[in-house]
Amino acid sequence: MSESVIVMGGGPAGLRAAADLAALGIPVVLVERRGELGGAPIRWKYKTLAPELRPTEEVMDPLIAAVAKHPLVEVHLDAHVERVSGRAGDFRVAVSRSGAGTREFGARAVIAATGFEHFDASRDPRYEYGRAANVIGIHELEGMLNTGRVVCKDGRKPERIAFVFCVGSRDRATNPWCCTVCCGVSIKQGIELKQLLGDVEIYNIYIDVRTFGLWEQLYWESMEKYGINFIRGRVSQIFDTGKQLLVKGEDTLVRGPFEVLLDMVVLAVGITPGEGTAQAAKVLGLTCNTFGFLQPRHPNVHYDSGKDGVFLAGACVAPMSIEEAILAGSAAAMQAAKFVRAAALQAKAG
Amino acid sequence: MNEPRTAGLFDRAKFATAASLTTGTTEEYLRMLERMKELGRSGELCVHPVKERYAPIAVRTLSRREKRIPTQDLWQHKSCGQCGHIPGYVTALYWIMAELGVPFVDDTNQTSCTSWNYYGSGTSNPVALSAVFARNMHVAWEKDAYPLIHCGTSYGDYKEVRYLLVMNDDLRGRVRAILKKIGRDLVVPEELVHYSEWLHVVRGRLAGRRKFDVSKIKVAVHPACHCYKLMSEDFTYDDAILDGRRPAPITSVALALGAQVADYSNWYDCCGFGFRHILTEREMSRSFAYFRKIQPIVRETGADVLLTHDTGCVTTLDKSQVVPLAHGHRETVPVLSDAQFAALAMGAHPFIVCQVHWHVAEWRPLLEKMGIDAAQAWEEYREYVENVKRGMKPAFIRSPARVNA
Amino acid sequence: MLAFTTRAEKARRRAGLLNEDGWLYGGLPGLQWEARNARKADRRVMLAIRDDMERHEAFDHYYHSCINCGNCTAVCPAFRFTDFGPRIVVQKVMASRHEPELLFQMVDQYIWACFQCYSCWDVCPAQNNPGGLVAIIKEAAVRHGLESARKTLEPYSRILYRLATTGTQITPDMHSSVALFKDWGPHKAELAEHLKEYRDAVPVESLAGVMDKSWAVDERTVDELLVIEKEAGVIDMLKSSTPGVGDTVEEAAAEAVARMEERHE
Repeated sequence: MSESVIVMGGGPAGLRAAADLAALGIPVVLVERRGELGGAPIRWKYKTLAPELRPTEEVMDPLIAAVAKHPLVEVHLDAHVERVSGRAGDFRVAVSRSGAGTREFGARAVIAATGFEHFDASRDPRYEYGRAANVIGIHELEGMLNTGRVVCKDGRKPERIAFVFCVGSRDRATNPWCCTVCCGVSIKQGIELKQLLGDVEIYNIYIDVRTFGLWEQLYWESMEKYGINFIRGRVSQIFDTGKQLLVKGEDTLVRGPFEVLLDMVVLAVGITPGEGTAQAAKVLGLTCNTFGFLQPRHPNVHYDSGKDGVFLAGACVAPMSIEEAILAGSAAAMQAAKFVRAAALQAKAG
Repeated sequence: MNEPRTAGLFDRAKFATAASLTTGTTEEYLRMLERMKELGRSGELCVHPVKERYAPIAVRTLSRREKRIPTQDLWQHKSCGQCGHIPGYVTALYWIMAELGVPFVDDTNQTSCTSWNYYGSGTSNPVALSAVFARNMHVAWEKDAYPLIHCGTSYGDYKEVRYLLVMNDDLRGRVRAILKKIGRDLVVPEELVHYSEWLHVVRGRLAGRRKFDVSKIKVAVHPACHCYKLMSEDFTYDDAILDGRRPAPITSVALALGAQVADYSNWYDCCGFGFRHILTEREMSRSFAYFRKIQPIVRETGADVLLTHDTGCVTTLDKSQVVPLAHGHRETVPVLSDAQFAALAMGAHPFIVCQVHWHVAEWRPLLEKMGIDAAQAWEEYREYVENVKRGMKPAFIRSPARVNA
Repeated sequence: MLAFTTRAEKARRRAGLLNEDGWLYGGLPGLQWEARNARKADRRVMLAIRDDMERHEAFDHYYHSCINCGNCTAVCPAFRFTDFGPRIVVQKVMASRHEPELLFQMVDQYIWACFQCYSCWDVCPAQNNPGGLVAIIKEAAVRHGLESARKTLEPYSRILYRLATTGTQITPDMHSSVALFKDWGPHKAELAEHLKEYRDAVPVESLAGVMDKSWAVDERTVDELLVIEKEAGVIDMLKSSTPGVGDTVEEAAAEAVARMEERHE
């Protein structure tokens, strides 16, 4: 009987869970949909992490190494879980690899850590995303920052950039929840643009600024050290004049209704449950809440899925920061380890 | 009018809490004080110390820093507004000092701080304000008397410009150059002391000389914005007075004299003076003073007197009642400075010394309630005025002799 | 015949309406006339005022970030009766680095509503001093001789004159007629009638009988003040904002300087 744990998802939460379990001597089969480990930070090439703008590698490199090099962890890339049968303590898990058929694994427990997708802003016609050049998302900007080159589509240096907060968040037309991190991430990126481009005007167009906890210092720093501007209101329309973007909105606090020409608009596209999460719900027989996130037994205890032997970790449960996802992975690993040990003892006794 | 409720001092359950919501500027101020001491030691600045000779008494400020209040050999930094149209204010203070045997210097070599003009019209700048400040402080230092600031706005302005003089090397250089042209150099006092802080620390001595029974007098207190909001660190707080959550002066004096002090919901509101507004935007000043201060005070406390400790506050609160009353509103309360009230309680003449006839809001019921025979006193005053007209010298209040000045 | 324009052309036209900073502002309700006025203003003056403000000795002490919490507005006396809000002041100062027009929208009327009580400074979580920023902007408006500043201060010129020439601001003889302070009550008339004899009888020697100053200020003291005002540039500011008073004070200052030199000889 296999003592192992299946971890669905190779992002920060899944990686942490796998690394911790392996360190405890418990074998792990890690199933990752994409062709590489690391989840969103690696996929979108995050350059630095809020709140202190530490390079992403500092966190992700050791995490990936801990898993990729560990003898007890079996990594399956370009793979997904097709089917789960059996019962807690004695699961049979069918893993499909594209172009390589299906394999079956036995496992005592499963951890779902299937992460998130960024909101596809082309679904919101206001912003001309996918049509106007120079309207991009924060995930795309992160990659550009990583290359050290941020320019407009026609190659010129942008002089005026706006971030639009809450795109695909806090909106009943798209997603009615708050994605927790994109205020902080947008502000962080604004600071990085100032560091990279020097003389550039940055406008953060927001409804609230939710730099939670110790991320708050970013907000104050962005104004005091970097002269970044904040405009409270919503953008009603972006129009591409061909050369620049005419952005229209209402500044509810100071300017009143306004129109302004900008070179680039960055949409803070929110966190949504991805395909992987839907798949996890299906194969594990889990409930999703109305928002599409995996629903734990109790909203304040994320790792407990309500099903024996099945544990939850990370952004598949609720939008969260990388530091929280890592914690969640560790918590789920602990619960899984307890379960595995108990099951092993029972098996011995029985 | 409804029966006013019994004076309730600081009904904690009902009203506002901390006197200052932020202690952020406190750190800045403390750093400035450190720097001031450094500059004093290096000789870059002359710091007029609170010497033993001034018999200082220690109090605590908002940050619980110890602040020493000199109690004698004081250089009276006068207020234009008081001397101009509330003469009883300064006279009462001098009378109290003479009664207590406190030596002081009343100097004609003093200019106005000029800050009412600055806040009202913007027709000045930090260099001028700092130079005026340093000039006056230099005179006090020359006379070896410690500056006691009479006006809340002077006190506030001086806190600001002292900060700038200490922290801004460039400004300090420019001010020094100007002072040299008038034969002076830079002096800043170790502590900036408002006269109501002095009254606070000697309140026991005031109480010891009390002549009239004020135990039935209900007092409402209005503290001056520039005393405790402008650079909030520096003013006197006392754990025994209002739990240390609001400035201690005025209230402490009223309590020491045995009066009742009543709390009201708009304690923290400005009086509405506005500097420019009192002259050229009077409807605003008047409306604010009456509807945000006078009316609520009377309705909530039924106070017999409203005490304050600043020229502008006395002016606004006193003078703003006339027009509303003419419009049919009923609430009115006499307005006095803490010094005038203390002097009255100690037996100072209401007209010759306290000059209450310059005040507008009806003060006769207050005097009556205190047991002062106003009619008789007025006769005495008229006679005194007639005598002065005929050539008699006024009964000048003089400082007790200074020792080793 | 209907004129038919493409969306792109409409947008290009609208873009032509944008001001020099590339913005089109609507202005908040109630304050739209200030936005319109500012749009028509002399840009050089606008930029000079903005620069004056940023270079002021106290600017860095008064201005930090603003998170729009509104604490300041809640305690502001001016806000009770006018549209003035200290939060707007800080926000517009903050934005003026790139959009000086926003700052300029305040200089004509907005800033003069402030009571300079500094309640806002006391409660700000970021330690901003909106009242202090207003004072700085007032200084700049005066220094640049803005028409609005002149008009606002015209009724105040008496005080300025008094201060500049006597070293004190409120003098007894201002109360000798009822006219200036009629609204301080009917008994002002009585006081005015007896003013001289009451003042003669004040039992403080530096006050007794002194009508033209708050207290008897030495001539030399007034001279020192005049020299300070000249050297610190206050007289220039006076000449900008109240030319009549400014010229008189300049003369007085020249005389004071002469006397000072004599004394040193």
